[in-house]
Amino acid sequence: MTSMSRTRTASSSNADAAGHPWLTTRYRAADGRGSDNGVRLSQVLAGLSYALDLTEGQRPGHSIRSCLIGMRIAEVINLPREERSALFYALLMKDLGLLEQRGTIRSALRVERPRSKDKPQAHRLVASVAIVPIRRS
Amino acid sequence: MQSFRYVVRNAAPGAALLQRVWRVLAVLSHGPEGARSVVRTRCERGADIARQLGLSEATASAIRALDEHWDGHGQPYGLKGDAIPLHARILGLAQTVEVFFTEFGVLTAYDMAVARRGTWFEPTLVDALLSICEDASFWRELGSGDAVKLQLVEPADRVMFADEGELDQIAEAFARVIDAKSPWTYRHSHGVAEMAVAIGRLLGLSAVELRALQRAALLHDLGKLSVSNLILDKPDKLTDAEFAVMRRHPEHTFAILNRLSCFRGLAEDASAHHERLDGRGYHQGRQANQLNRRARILSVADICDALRGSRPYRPGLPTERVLEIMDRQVGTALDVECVAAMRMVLTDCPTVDPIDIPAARIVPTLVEDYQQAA
Repeated sequence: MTSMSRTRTASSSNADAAGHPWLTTRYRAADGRGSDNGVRLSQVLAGLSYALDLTEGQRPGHSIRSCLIGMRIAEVINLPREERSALFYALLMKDLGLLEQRGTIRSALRVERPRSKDKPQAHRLVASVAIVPIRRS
Repeated sequence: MQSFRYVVRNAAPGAALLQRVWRVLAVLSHGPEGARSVVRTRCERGADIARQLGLSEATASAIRALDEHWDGHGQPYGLKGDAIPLHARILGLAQTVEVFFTEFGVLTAYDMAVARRGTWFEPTLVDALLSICEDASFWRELGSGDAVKLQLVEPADRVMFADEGELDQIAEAFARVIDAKSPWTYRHSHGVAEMAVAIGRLLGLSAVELRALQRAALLHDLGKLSVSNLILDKPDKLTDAEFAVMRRHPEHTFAILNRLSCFRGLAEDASAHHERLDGRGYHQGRQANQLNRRARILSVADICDALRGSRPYRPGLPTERVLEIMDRQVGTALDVECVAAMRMVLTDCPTVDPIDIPAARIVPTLVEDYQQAA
């Protein structure tokens, strides 16, 4: 059954750990009962994830597709339902700390323009321990 | 060895041999620690902004460990196996599979995952991927890029909603993402928002309008995320081609905000910050009668903040010089009332200070080129 209007408070350990102003985000029933005219957070963040895709040099919708793949894996491994919400938002917002990795690396290398064949290599370039090209198997 | 080959192949292509050798040495001198530092910044900042958005600590931890590898050879902390949060392990696999799926298709994505089973990725997760790979309809629908499907995978009993105050926080958080794109635009979005709201108050905007103005100001450069840092941080005048790329950023801002029902009303205003009253602005070349007061305020606030801040090609300008430059644009580009209000803000509000970042290089001929500056 769906839960109704559980409101987190500023005393939450999450807020304490973060040290940031706490957002009074509410969990509410998916059917909208208990609505107080809020908008669905996932829809807002999904829309803004397109902006993150822009900087990461990904195709539009990368974050959303990653989210769909990751949630499907979670389903297969039977990740507890209470943990799936955290995973869901992590997948959607994984590139929040974005750095233009291609730009960063290319700037260091003085590459003026990306070469099309480097496209898949550029992704996770830094993440793959700096400049290790991805080998296709 | 792979890293070295990549550097040799890509360092300053087309340049003289000596230049290329110098570049290779310069890159290698930073070594793995340089790369680790970049990834650490990315991961920590991502986790920090996630917390600012009010997301859980589990979410923030997953983002922090996004680029760790199962075998301990990932970045930035070299976490190994179960020391990497499970959510992060799933993130790492999902995002890499997505890239290969999008570029080459599901079979290559799976081959990649199998090849990195036990090194990059947890074996159990790669095995779980196998059952998904056989689901043709899943990949077909994934390729269609339908965001609506997200609602189907979001845990139904944990759906989160955001009220108006939280939407403000989301705009703030994304402004931070935008401003982090380049050291030269550090706090630009926030600076524009502060100035825009101050002008709006002086012009008597209602509380509702001020809130909309603030959000539009915070998000006005969202589209700049699409502009390469090679352009944003260029210490010289942009070429025509580079300027053409730069001129498209308001278009991207509009496209992204227009997708969102809660921010759709801001899309027009936020994307009009380079429009001019005489219709010679971009990206739509709107005329004066097509620019509402919020858009006019935003334009003034944006230029003001850009001129006062340092740029790669010049230092920040003193207030007198900013006013002088902007006064010359009144009536043609800028609204007279908005500029007058801005003048009052700058005169009466000493807290609105330019950001003190030393310019890398001064190009006097570009001092007035606020189009590039903003």
